[in-house]
Amino acid sequence: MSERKIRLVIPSSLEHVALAGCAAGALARYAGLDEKESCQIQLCVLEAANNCIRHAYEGRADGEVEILCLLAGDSLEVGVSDRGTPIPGGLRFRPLAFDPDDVASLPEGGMGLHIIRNVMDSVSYSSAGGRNTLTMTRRISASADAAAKER
Amino acid sequence: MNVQEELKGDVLVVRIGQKVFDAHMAGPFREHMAALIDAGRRQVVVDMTGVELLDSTGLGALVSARKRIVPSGGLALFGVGRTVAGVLRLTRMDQVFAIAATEDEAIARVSSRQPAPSGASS
Repeated sequence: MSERKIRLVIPSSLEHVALAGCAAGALARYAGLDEKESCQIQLCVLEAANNCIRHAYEGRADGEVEILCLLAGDSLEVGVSDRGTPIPGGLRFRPLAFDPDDVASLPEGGMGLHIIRNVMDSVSYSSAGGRNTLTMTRRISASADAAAKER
Repeated sequence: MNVQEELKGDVLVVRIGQKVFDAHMAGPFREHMAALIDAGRRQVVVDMTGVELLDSTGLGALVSARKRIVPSGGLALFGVGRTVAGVLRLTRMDQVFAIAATEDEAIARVSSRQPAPSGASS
């Protein structure tokens, strides 16, 4: 399958994130992922874009978040970029450690990267030239890929 | 935010009524639930019917309410769809929330709840 890509840009405001997520989810469906998998892609785009807005831009609405979706071979790659403050020390996955019976230990945040890591096949983070990018890749099964080729 | 509320006996039913429960909604929802709980609502069920996507900030807002209502109250969810259930499983929050199949069951679960010692789950 030849490489195909689409670039979405939203203002760095939370009210726009759902739209980008819907678009990425629809693209995942087009690529051949099933409904559940497409919802997972949608969710990961939401999580990544939320992090850009809340952390890189610290809630400022004057920036942009770019979502670059790339369909190539047997994978869907989604890069979510900002031009805000990079993640200090780069990407670090922390285990979601809590005791379900200990209410005080329940996390109210920090679950987004856990979700992304568990949904995607690979996740990486880069920061160069003032641009920070979280790149997430999900493999498309052979049967799904064949279906996408027919479209 | 456009949540609907309905009082059934002592139990407050909070209906999310949105397809996407995300960061845009999570902040106002968190504050609204805190105000309700602080005003004395101790038995709350949340209707997740129609919610197709719950992100980690929406989930965090539910956790915040769950933590605030303990130890003297109870909070249960119902109307949880497949994708939301997947997020709850992925984050192990399915072990934290009482998840009922129906509204009546959710109400029964928080209504029958007895005050628990600090730090105990419902």
